[in-house]
Order: sequence, then C-alpha cells, then structure tokens
Amino acid sequence: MFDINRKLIEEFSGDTVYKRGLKCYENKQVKSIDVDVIDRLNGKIAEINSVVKSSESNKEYRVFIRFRDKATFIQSDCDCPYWGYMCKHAVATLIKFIDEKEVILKDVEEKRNREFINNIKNNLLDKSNILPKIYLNTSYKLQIDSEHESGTSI
Amino acid sequence: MKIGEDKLYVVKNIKEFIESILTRNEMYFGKGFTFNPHIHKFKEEDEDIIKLLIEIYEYKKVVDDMENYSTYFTKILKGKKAYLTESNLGRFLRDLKDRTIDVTINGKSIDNVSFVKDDFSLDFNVETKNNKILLKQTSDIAMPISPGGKYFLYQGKIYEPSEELIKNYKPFFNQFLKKRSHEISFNENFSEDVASFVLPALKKISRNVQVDKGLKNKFYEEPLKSSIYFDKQEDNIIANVLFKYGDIEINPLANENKKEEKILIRDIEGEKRL
Repeated sequence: MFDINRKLIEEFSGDTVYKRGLKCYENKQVKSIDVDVIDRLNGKIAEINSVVKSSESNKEYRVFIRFRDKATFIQSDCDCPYWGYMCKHAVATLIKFIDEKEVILKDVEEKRNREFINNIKNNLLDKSNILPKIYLNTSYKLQIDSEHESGTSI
Repeated sequence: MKIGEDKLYVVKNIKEFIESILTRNEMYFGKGFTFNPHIHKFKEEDEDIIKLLIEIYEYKKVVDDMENYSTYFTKILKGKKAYLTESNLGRFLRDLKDRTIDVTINGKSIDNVSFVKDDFSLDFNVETKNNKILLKQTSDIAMPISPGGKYFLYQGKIYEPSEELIKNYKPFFNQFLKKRSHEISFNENFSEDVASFVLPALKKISRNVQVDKGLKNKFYEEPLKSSIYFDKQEDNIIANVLFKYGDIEINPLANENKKEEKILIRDIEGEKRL
C-alpha cells in the first residue's frame, strides 16, 4: 500500500530542496505526523498532516500532503514562506512516512478501531433510556403580518 | 409521478400540476389526456400524497415570496421532481400504504420496493485469522437513504427501523463505509473490547452472529455480581464499587485492570444499571 518512494519525492521537489528536506528529517524536525487513509472505489488516498520545526528558529510549520495509492502526483501545502512547489518540510514529512510507513499505518488502523469501539461503548453506556423523564409545558404564539391592515387579497 | 385515466402520462412539471389542482384550471398532458380538476378526482389512497405535494408547493411559495430576486427561487419543485426532506420522505412512504414503488438509487433501478416499519436483521461472522479478529457482515449492507439515517434500503425493501437499532448499527455502517469493505479487523489487544462491547452491540442488531469455535473457547463468561464497600475517611464516606465475574474482579474506576488469559465478556448493561 502506498508505493511512494524517495526518487519520486526528489523528482517533485528538485535536488536542492530534497537534500534540505532529508536533513530536516535526519535532524528529527518532524515533530508529529498524522495520516488518514481514505478508501475510494478507485483506490486509497493518503492525507498527511504534520508539524515540522523550522531549521532557523523555534517556529513550527504545518504541512498537508495528499496522494493516491499509486502515487503519480503529490499535492503539498505548508504554511512556511517558501514559494516553490514542494518545500523541505513536506519532503521531510514524506521521507518519515516512507521510512516508518508500517508503524504509521498500523497506528491509523488502531486509531480507527479505538474510535469505533468508543462509539459502541458510548451507545451501550448511554443512560438516557434509564433516566426518569420530565414532561415539559409549552406555549405558542402565531404572528400574522398582512400586506395591508385589512388583510391580504385571496 | 404519472397520472392518467387508462394510459399513464408523466407529470413533467409538478409545480404547474399542483397549480392546476389549486386554481382548478385544465392541464394538457397529451393527445389522449387533459387533466380537468372539475371532473378528475384522485383515489382515496392518493389523497395524502397529493396533500404532501401541495404542502411542499405552499412551502416553496412562502420561501419564494421572501426572496426579492427571481433567480433565488427555491428548487424544491423542479420539473418532474419534488425534493423531499427526511420527514417528507417518511410521510410519502407511509402514505404509500401497501403499494410498492420503483426506486432508482445511484443510477441503479430496483422495481417493486415495499416499505416496512420494522427492524431489519443482519448477519455477521466473527472469526480469528492470522492472530487478528475478523468481523464480517455476511448479509447485504443496509444502506441509509436519507441524510438523518432514518430510512434504509435493504434486500429490496425500504425500512424504518427503531431508533435503538439505528443507534447501534450506525458505528458499524460508518466503519464499513470508511473501509469500503464489509470487514473490520482487530488486533488481539482489542479482544476484550470485541467480547464486551462489539459482540453485545452486534446482538442488538442481528439475530445471526456466528462466532468461530476457537474464539468462543477463549471467552470467559460468568454472571455479574457487584459489591460496594463503604469506607469512612474523616467526615466523608467513600463508596468503592467492584464488579465480580466468577474469579475475576474489575474496578470500574481503575484505568487498567489485571489482564487475564481468558477474554472476559463483561455485562456492560448490567454494570451500567448499577
């Protein structure tokens, strides 16, 4: 699943940005990575959200990347000032994804299952059907605004 | 919608058709049929559906009159289509009474669909495979057909199940939808969750849950016995609750309880009552 590779990232980012991204990854600047796998009829889509620390300051940048199972195009977005197609923060995120893919995807599966179990648990523990009920009183008011004081033509 | 005396004609403009009923003006359908509100009457079984369409028309008029620009006219009646809210759909289905209708869902046609106000029963299979617990829905998926998830298409019928069934089916359906599959697999560390939560929830939506023997043998099922211990600490009285299943004790307030070799099936509803 997700046969994205380093060569493809290098093609998309260019040699210089790729090397800078690799350095970011090796310096462990990718602080968090969250992957969502969306199943579509024509294949899977990975959506990655990550936080990457700046190389120059204490700033942190938010990265969003999206690509298909058979990746031929990588959509990438980062809130850093870099103006080109793919920045070094996106490259660092993608390298981390490739290197730790199995663990990351396993975590995604676990997260989904945990959410699923929690939804079921909340249903089973829902107390609303055993709590005593209180009937409410109601009152209504009808407001009529006619075109003329004497009414509306019919 | 189609109407006619012998041969049926498609109502190509529902809005104009309702206007012709309300204003008692004739409407031409074709060489063989002109609707004349002075002589044509709807059968008793159709009256409620016509009433529903008139109400939708009236609602459209109210909304249209609020807008000053004609381009913003609501399109709830557009050509031969009337767009229904979930409540409208419910009324339409109930008003059909015992009649069947032809349904097109995502381009696929299904003829003679009937409406039932009842729970559907789904079939499931739970087994262990490659150190994983595999949950499979072996029957068709019951597909929600309205945004609020009140009505479902299942095995050629439209169902209006109980709120309880919808509540319990929802997490399963959403999980299957996310995975685009009829299967959910769990690692073995989810065993107790599957036994105590997933299986009881499955039994609420299905009369046919097959659990494979290997997994059943790992289950430990004993009736729930609970104890409450009261402790006096200075001016406060502290109550400690303990759930006992045979030899296994569970403290509901502890984050983690001792892991057992067997998979304990907890009586969550019994615990909830306490």
